[in-house]
Amino acid sequence: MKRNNIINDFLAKHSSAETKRYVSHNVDIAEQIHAILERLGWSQKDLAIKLNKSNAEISKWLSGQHNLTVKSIAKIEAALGEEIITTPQKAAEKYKQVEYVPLTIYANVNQKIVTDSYDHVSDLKIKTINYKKENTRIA
Amino acid sequence: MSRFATIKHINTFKKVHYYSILFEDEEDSLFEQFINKYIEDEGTKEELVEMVEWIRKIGDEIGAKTKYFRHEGATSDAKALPPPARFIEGAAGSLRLYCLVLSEQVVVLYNGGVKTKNKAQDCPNVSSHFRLANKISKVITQSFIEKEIRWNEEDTDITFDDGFELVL
Repeated sequence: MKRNNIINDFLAKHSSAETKRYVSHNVDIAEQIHAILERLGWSQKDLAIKLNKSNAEISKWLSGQHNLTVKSIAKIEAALGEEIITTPQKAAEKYKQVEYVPLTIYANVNQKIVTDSYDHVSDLKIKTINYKKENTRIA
Repeated sequence: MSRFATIKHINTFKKVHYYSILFEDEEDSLFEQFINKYIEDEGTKEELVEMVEWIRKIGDEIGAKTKYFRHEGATSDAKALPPPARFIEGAAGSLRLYCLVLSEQVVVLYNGGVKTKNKAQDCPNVSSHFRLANKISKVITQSFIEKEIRWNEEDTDITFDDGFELVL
């Protein structure tokens, strides 16, 4: 069977980076809501009742194609009692990023190297490891 | 009179293989007819491109989870099974594309149109596509039973012999 690339070819011709991002965000938000509903053990109908909306409307909202406004997202978040979206800046604050730096260690064969928080037995004379930047200091 | 059709591969993404149906007397598959028609219409162009982006996103990252593919019309008979074909609805709620979700990895895309009535069956634009989608879906299901269409070893894609045709 001949393998085709019809969807990719169509989108290369007619879509844009903006449309791709727009659709991607819509689907990601819908996926996030579905995941929260599943974790809470709620059905779409439960959410519809909580939001005083019809089941059909919630179905549209959660289709990944609907252009949910920030206001609608806030309504859903209030109903679920948790965040659906977060900005990269907030995410960075919430989940402090661990930055690694290369650390070159000079050692004899099989010499045990002890650092502040890392015990390392090397079988090489020179070994470079990635080390948590927050644990390093200038000697 | 019977019509003959083949299964045409449309696109493969990380999580979904998409197929369509090509009738022997037609040049384009049903899905190609759909995109070729509505891309030319200024009223539906944007909705169509977003819909196809959605199909790619589902194919690339999500998988064809049935919660994203809706069933047409609730029946009054609670015991009756819904028709096999499902649909993808555009953001504006006008464009509707019929499809068959065989698994989270395999979807057959049919044709569709601009829905103007509450029930697809009553809409002159989509009723024929809806009926055809259900007819093809039943034939495909029967072809699985008769092992003319089979799952691959990993159950992630379909296979069939060269020259295999659906009789509709």
